[in-house]
Formats: sequence, structure tokens, C-alpha cells
Amino acid sequence: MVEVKNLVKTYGKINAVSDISFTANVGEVLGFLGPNGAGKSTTMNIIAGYLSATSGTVTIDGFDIVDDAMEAKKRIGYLPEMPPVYQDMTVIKYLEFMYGLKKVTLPKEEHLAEIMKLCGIDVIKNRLIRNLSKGFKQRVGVAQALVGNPPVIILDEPTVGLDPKQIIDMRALIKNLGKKHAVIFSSHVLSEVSAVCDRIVVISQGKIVADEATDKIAYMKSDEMRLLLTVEGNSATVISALSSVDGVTKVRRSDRQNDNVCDYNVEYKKDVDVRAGVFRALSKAGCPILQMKDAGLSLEEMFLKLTAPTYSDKGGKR
Amino acid sequence: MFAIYKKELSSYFNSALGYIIMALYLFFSGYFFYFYCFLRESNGVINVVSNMITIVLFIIPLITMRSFAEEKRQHTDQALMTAPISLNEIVLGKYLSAFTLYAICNVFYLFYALMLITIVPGTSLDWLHLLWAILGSLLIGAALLATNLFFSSLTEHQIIAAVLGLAVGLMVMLYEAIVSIVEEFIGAIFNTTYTAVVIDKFSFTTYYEDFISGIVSPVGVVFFLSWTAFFLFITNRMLDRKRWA
Repeated sequence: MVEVKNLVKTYGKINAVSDISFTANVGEVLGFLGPNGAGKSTTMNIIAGYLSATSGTVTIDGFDIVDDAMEAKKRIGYLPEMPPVYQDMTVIKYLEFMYGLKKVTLPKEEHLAEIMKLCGIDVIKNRLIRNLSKGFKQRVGVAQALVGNPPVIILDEPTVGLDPKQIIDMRALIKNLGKKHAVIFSSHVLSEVSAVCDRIVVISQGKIVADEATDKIAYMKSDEMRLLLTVEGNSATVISALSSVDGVTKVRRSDRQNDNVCDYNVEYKKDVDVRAGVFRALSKAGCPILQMKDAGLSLEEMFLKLTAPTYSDKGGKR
Repeated sequence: MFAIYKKELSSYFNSALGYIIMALYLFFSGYFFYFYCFLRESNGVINVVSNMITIVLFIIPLITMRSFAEEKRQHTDQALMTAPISLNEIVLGKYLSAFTLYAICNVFYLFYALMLITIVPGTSLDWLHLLWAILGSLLIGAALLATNLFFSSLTEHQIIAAVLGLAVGLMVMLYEAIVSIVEEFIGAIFNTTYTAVVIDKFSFTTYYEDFISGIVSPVGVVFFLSWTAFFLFITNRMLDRKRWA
């Protein structure tokens, strides 16, 4: 649905975006992840047709965003970083304006009522946007993107500034949208992206450093696998028992829950399954396993690895 | 285009701005009306139109200062620029709504004329002449609105847009003087008498005076309309340029 090819955007000598390519399809939530200033917003602005790329193409459903701008833009709902709302309008007036602006042909009242219900803003529809909280403004911004039911929805950091309950609601909404739309959604909050997205594109200093399914991405950059254990017993005994298992490379006590129960972090070689061995060794040492969990690198660690600045790049760290 | 037109127009009347502009217009035109038509007892609605030009020059920047500057400041331009409408529709929607507000102000002249012939029986009024003068007022307004709309697209601060507009207003008002200064200056440098032949063709007030004195000549109409078209065009270009910056 969305095809981004070799996108480059330079501001003077600074490369904001260099050579980004990816695709997003209907029925998919694509997470766009990167630290602040990585080029997320610039890329999204280009996809939505607000900025022009220095080179490269964006096609929406086969329509080029520059050459067939009208047709392409009809298929995009865009929520920029700052919700583009008019402070002196009421919510319903604003959505009616966006309905007219986008030249939507769906039945007006039902369509807008449906969107407002979906975004949970039907109760505030007659209030001035100026008087709304940040969270509600954000939701009005999402509602605005949904007007006209476009197949592609682009949301630039939609959860910034929301309270925890609103964040949960927003994530549920995005997940829900992902069933029928192609959703591209950016964030620098990792847990959020992993909770909502089917696929993650990680961008750092204007370049894509990873483009993988969410459940695979954590394993990408590591040769070592990891086991998280909670074991009862003397920690010296436990560590020596664990170290004796074939394939285990490193054992570390990560946390002490009480005098006798500790958490351990066991790293082992990628292609060996050490779980049965760990069980036998600890059972022999008389230390019951209370919990065992297989884990790759945590998303946070992976993220830091992927986005570690490479100062040799011409674009440079800004 | 219609969506933007409607939104702009209602934003004039949902805020104080539209009313302030109309109040200023009414206050000054009312004063001139009182001065020319009652104190002087001439049938001078034309004089009212004529004198209002100095006021109009300073009111027009107020009408358009927000148009694009405020959109940029509130980031709402992102909604406009990513909607499936062309830049021309955006520019024209904004322009026409500003022009509508200005045109409404011009309707007041007709009320003054009606008032005059009802209150003072036996007053004769040359309606055609008056309408021609009002057309002149509409045209000069159209040209200045386009100019000021362009200024609004340059900045995200309405005050800067307004100040630029006021500067142009002053230039329009003092244009004759400016031209003669230029003539004298160049003349002094080259030690001859110099007559500016091209720049004096850009005198707004000269064309406007033609309308006021009832001279039917297409030159003024063409001048104001092409001026308007030119500034709407470069406003469009200016918005497009932002995408590449």
C-alpha cells in the first residue's frame, strides 16, 4: 500500500534522511522507531506530502505523492507531531471542516459520529478545542486523520503527552485500526512499539538500521541467547551448578528477592537448548527452579545496540 | 476550496477580528459621511469613498495578517497541505474570504447613499457614478489584499505580516512623493531633468482617482486585476517553496 523507495532529504549540508526504503501493507501496523532527531517526523512528513524529498519516491496505492498528489493524499490520514487543530473551533465543527477539506463523500453525520465514538471524543464534541486537555486534543488529531476512512494512516508519536489510561486506549485504537488499514506509527517508546506493532522499522541518524517482525527483532543482533531464572538456594551453589551446564557461557545473579531466592541471568550459545540441562543440574544441587524464561536481548538493549551512533558517518551526529 | 472559504469567513466572525474591522470601517466612513454630507451639505457619498482610501490602506493588513501566519504558528498548515486539495484552492479560499469581508464593508456606502436620499428629500444622486467609485474601492482593495496575503505567507508572526502591509500602505499613499524624490535624485546625479516613465505607472492612487472622478477607463481595472493575480501566484509559489526548504 505504501511504498517508500530510496528517500533522501537534505537540509543544506545536513542529511536528515538518507536512503530510506520500506513498504507497509493493509492489515499491518508498522512501528517507526528511533531516538529523537533520527528523521522519523521528516520521513512521515514526506510520506504525507507535506515536505518534498530531495530524491526518492513515495507511492500510495500506486499513486506517486508528488505526481499524483490528489489521488495519493485522498488515501492518507495523517496526524503530525502537533495535532493540526484550530483552537477556536469546537470538536464537531473542526471535524466537519476536515470532512469538507478532504472532499469526503461518505454520509457525513454517521461517518463523523462513528469516528468520534471510536476515538472516545463524542462526549466533548461541542467543546472548544482550545479548552481541551492535551490527551483529548491528541485524540481529536487522530479523529481528523480518520475522516474519510483512508486506507493509509500515519500517526507521528500519537501517545506523547497522554496519561497511562489514555496511552492504553490509544494503543488499543491503533491495534484496532491496523486490522483494516495500513498504519505507520512512530514512537521513541520501545515497549509501546513492541506492544502494538507487527513490524518494526528502526531508524537512526536518517538511516534504517533494522526492518523486522516484532518478535524476531529482539534476537537479531545477538549471538548469545539468554535464560532468566528464579531459583531457591544458596547463590554460590546455584551459580556453580549453572556454570557446569554444557553451552552456558555466562551466569550472573541479577537480583535478590529474599535471603534464599535470587534471579539469575544465564547466557548461552545460540544453537544449543540448555533448558533441560539447567533443570537437571539445579535439581542435582537441590535448588528448586521457581521460574524459567527464555529471552533474547531486551528490546531496550537491542535498540541501544542498533542506534549506537557511528561518528564516522558523513551525516554525523547532530 | 469552499471548505476553506467557509472556515476562514466564520473564523472572522467567531473572533473579534471581523467585528473590529467592520467597526473601524464604519467609524471612519461614518465620520466622513457626517463631515461631507451634513456639515458640508454636499451630496458627497463619493467623497466618503474617496477619503476612505487612507483608512483602507491600514485596515487591509489587519484582514489578512492571520491568514497563513497563524496556520503556520498553530501547525494547522500541515492539515491543509496534506489534504487532497491544490495550493490554488487553499490560496483562493483564503483570498476570497478576506475579500468577502472587505466587500461587506463596501456595502455600507450604499446604506449611506440610501440614508442621504431618505433623510434629505430632494437630494439627487448619481448612482452609476457611485457604483463605479465603489468598484474602484473594491478593486484597489482586491490588489492590496493579495499583496498582504502574500506577506502573511512569508512569516509565522502576524505582526510582521501586518507591519509589512502597513509599510506598503504608506508607500501607496506617498507614492507620488516617492516618485518625485526618485526623479530629483536621478536628475541630480546625472545633472539633467529626469521623468520617471515606468514607475509612475504603478501609482495606485492615480488609478483610484480615475474611478472616483467617474472616468471610465479599463486601464485601472486591468492594472488592479493583474496586480492581484500576480500576488496570488507568488503566494502559491511561496507556499510550495516551503516544501523544499
